[in-house]
Amino acid sequence: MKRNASRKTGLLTAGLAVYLLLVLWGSTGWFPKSWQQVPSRMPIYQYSPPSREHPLGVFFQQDLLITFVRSTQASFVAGTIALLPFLALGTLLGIASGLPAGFAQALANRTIDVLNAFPRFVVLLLYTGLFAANLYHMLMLYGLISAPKLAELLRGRIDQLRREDFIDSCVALGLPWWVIVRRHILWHHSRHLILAQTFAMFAMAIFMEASLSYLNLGTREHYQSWGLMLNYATSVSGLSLFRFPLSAQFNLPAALPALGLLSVTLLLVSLSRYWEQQDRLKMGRMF
Amino acid sequence: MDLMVEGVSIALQRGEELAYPARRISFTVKPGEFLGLVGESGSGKSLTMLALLGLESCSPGVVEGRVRYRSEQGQLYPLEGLSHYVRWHGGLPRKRTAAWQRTVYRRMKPLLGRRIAIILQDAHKTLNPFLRIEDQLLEMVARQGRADAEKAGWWGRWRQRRSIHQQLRQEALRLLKALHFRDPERVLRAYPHQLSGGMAQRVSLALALASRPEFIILDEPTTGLDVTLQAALVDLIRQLKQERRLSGIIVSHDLMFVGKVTERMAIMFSGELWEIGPTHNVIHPDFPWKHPYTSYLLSFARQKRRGSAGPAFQNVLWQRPKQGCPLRKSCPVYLHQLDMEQRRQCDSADPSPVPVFPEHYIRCWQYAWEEQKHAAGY
Repeated sequence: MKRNASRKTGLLTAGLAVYLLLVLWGSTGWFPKSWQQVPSRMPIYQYSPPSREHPLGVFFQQDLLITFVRSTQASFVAGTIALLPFLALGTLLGIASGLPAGFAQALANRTIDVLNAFPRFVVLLLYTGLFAANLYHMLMLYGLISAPKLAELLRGRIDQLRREDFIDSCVALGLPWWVIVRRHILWHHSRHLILAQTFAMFAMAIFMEASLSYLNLGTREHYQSWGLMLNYATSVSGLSLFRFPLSAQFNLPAALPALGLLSVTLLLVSLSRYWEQQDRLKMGRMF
Repeated sequence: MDLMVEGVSIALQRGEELAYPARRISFTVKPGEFLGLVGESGSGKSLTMLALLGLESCSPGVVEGRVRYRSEQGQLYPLEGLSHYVRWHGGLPRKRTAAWQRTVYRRMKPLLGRRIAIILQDAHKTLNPFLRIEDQLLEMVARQGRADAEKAGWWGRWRQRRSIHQQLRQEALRLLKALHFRDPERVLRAYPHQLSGGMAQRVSLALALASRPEFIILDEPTTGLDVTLQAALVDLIRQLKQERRLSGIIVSHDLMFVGKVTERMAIMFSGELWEIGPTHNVIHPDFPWKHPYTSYLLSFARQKRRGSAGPAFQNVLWQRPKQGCPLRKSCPVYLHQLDMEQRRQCDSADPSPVPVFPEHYIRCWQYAWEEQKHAAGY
């Protein structure tokens, strides 16, 4: 048991360390001067191999390592921007739709139905067509329109828990409903579910950011993206996306976001397993 | 602190059929008194208790009657107008559930957990399995001092959080000691699955008592307890009655247990009250006036019929006859002791409660006839 726990704690620490390192590095924007100095006469899509000044080489007139870190930052920003409205609206709708029948419940249920009625990607394209394309706004919108996924799961959980005796007992002992929802339902019985949805959403947001960038939707001045690199790869160099394997330099920008995503996944999975193990111990179950 | 229940009926709809798990229930619990509500499983006792607090989960639920609670300070908390939320369509009730629930929540909020506490069946299931007893108990103890804490403001509370936690913990320990826990510290650290049935029962009693209620409802408190724990629970309830001047209702199918701790007893079967009176009279074998169903229950309780089922009273929840006494088809008095004329009367009308002794009422035609004879001077 002890060995198992230490392995999980190790995973948690490793995930947290990689995550913090990438986010901090990306957010500070600090890089050695030698990395930032690129020969100006170099053709735009020529790849220069690794050297002492540029550990991963140069491509698109940029140091590849800088590109990697910035693209990681872009991915994390994308994930976080989509995640916040997703969690806020999803939890709110889930709680409201799990309440006893009434106006709030009906409103929440109809909102979920309406949001579910439209394909998410089409809504994003419509938004781009109607308003100026801004990647941040689009990712926020993506978070909002994905919220029903979380809300429906929470509604089911609340429906199930409302039949449990200990919830009846809480009501009978006069605990306010928001305390019951926050403490007894959300935190102690639904946190695995919220966590699982969180990392699924994080990955989906990064994928969506890459897809939108590939389609040249959104502002892309300040950072690089996997989707944007692939777009360059297909348009500038004339490579087909379906011709595999693509040159390493076109796929490498995906490496760090993927590593970052892996670290987040490790972090969340470890946390989920840790909670699961704790809950099992609390319930007195060995398996 | 008395509870007045007047003509409460609870309906249960199944397709086009309508049944009443509780029909025209009326009783009063006086200050400092415990009422025992006794009947076999499925007779509607627990549902009635939940309905008194607006917590019944069946649809459409309470369709008529009213409940009033008078606090120690003389404040009256009415739960009137229950039938206002019910519209009848072709003999079937349609309840405006959302409006009803809001009203109940608003009206019961100042009562639940403050003046009235209820302990539900199966103590283990009523405790949150993921929370330590400490967390659950402190949550309830904290509610008692909520008014003082709110005056301090959130910053004051945050600064004094450690001392507040210590105070709450001491209060919880005192409460557990009062409930005869040998090692309250250990109980506070435990999760519900680490407690035995008796300990869980006492912990749920502690949860209910944490907010210092005036009135307590115990639903099947002896479920899963052996005789020694039952005896301990009897002592505990007696002690609480003396020390805290508690009133309450004890719902149980254990006639003998209820007989030890209550002053009055009501016998319920098939959703209706058949007898209500002083406990001593109801359970005493030599007391001459008894409802046939009470005699039937007593005969089981005193183990005269051990091993044989005997002719059982039939629950008529879904097949209630349109007229006459609903229990007559399985009533031994009706089947073996009455003449044709008396049987005809049993067939024709539902009996009303008849006073057989001060504050002792029985719903049976045989006592109505005795009363008529008495009034006529025989």
